Amino acid sequence: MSRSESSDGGRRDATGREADLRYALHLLKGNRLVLVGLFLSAATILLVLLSHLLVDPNLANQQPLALRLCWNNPIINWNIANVKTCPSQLPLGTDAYGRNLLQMIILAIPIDMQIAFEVVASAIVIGVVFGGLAGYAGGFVDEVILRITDVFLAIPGILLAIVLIVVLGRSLPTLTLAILITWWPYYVRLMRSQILSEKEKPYVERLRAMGAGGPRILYLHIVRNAIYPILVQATLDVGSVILTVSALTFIGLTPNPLLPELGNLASQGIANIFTAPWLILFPGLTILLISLGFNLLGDGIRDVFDPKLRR
Amino acid sequence: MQKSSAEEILKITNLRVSFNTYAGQVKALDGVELTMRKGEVLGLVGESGCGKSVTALSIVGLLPQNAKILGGSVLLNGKEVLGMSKKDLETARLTEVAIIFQDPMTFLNPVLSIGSQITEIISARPELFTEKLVKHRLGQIGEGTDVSAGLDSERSHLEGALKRGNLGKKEFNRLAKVYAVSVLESVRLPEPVKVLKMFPFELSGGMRQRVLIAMSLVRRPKLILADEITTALDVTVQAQVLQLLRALRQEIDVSVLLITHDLAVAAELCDRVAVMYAGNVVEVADVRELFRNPLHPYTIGLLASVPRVDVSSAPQEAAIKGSVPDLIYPPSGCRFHPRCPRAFEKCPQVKPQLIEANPGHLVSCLLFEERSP
Repeated sequence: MSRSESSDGGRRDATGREADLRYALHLLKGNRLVLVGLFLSAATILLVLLSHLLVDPNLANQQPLALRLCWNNPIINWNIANVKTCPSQLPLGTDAYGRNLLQMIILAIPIDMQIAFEVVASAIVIGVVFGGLAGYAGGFVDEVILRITDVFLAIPGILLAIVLIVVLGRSLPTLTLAILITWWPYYVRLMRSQILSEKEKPYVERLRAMGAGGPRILYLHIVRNAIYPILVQATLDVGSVILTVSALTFIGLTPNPLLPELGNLASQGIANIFTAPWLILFPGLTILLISLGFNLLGDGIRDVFDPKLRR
Repeated sequence: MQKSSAEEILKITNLRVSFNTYAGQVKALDGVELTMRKGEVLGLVGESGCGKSVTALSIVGLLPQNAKILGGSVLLNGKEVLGMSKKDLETARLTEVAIIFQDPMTFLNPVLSIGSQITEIISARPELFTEKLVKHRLGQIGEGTDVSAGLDSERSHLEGALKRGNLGKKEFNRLAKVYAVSVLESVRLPEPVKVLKMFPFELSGGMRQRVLIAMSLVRRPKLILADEITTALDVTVQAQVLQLLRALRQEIDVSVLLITHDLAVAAELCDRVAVMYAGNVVEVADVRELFRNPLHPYTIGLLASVPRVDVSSAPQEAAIKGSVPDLIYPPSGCRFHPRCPRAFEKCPQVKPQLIEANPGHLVSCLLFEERSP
């Protein structure tokens, strides 16, 4: 009776997911920018994992002042007067405390990335829980949650973060918290809008007819279908959070002036921009590359891995 | 007639439902009367918009937000469904009644595997299913269909669990999977173990409809509402699915309310057929009786309008004059009277009741009320 279906099913089973993967790779190949993004973010994550093996974290607290603001790189020559030459080769020179700038950047990447991941992950959780609730329950609950996000969105993000850091005291956790507080409303709204369209789908009606309860339908079924745009947004936001963190520390909201953090390292460079331009250039370039990488990767994930945009 | 007997799985009396829309109040159901006996297949036929699906949705309490139940009662297995608490309704949907929808393409969650969607139905309320699962597995072992090693120790282990009334979580999940496989087997899906790991997009339309039927069977419901289940399938697959339904009803003890606009499907599968028109049940009869000896003018018109290829001398199929009434302003009296070839002066004034014209043959038409004492 089901002869034809059987052979059909067999064929699809053998090649269905493989073909899917191959198609994804094909899309990836056609898109050079995604490959660049993939490479940059993979390199970033690799550095995060290896940084403490590559560089001793204690080096951040040492201040060999005799070596401050010197440069010795055979490839790059600055035609600026008064550039001190370091006694030994230092590829990216030293900073105002005499620390090896390359080492400091390697130590800084995990600190920035940790904040970025914490902010984005918490924002996803908050977005899924409250955005899901707002979208699925609707009515009064929806109204209350949306008005709360309005309150947070009404205040300029950086300003709110500055106030919070000043009030709560300067430390890495308060920095994270301050950025999170300006960040979560977007995720709640994005999740809510996704839920609104997803909850009208027929499979939701079927689940209801099968006696499934609200939380099960929402968090086990709808959210799993609605999460893709949030994941794309999260990848894009890793770069944006790093930009925000460095902006805040650049203007002086750092817990500790010796903290190797990209914005903090760059901020030392302002005072010495004419005598030691590497000090602002290389941390700045690192920020640029990391956020560029995650932005390109986010775009790529959107194009390649969202099955609903493809079919 | 008025009392609900133990033999009735479903009894709908005078159900009236309306929808609030911008254009006005749509009086979708106007006193629907329907009784289903245990184990029968009742066809609910009628044209689009006559209230077939609304009737089904009110049985499971899934009417859309803008619907309003104006009155009547729906007894499901002797229990009143209208006004049931949310929790009771969920339990009823989980254990008593299942609904199979029209379009198999969109009624499965696209991102979850078939297996997880089936086992979820079981593991959602473990307290309702533990005993069923253990007994099912013990039955399998008893039948000797499975010849793998270690069956004896498994049997004694399961019997112990049955006595304690408590099954480990891991064991529960394993049995749930075993059960899902046998349910997929029962809907004649080839290679059920493989299908469990597949995702909906990897299945064809007919296979998906089988999966949906399997899902409705998982809980061994007493009543299945099959809402236009063959409409979205192509004709050869339709035949397979109908064949499956017919086989299933011989295997398991279940009543089926088969909603369709296809009279051929109804003739093929049903024991009795109820004809609906504009929110009313106008005629209910045994399937042969209805097709041989239709009484209501609408049923006569409906049967006459079916094109036939087998009778060369048959006249051109006759369409019923006029069109379906606007249910915001339904006709007074009998809702069919503006289109009825046999209407007389009383028809616009009196709403006909469903009466027994011949034994077992109910009709709602004033012609027969006049005749019967």
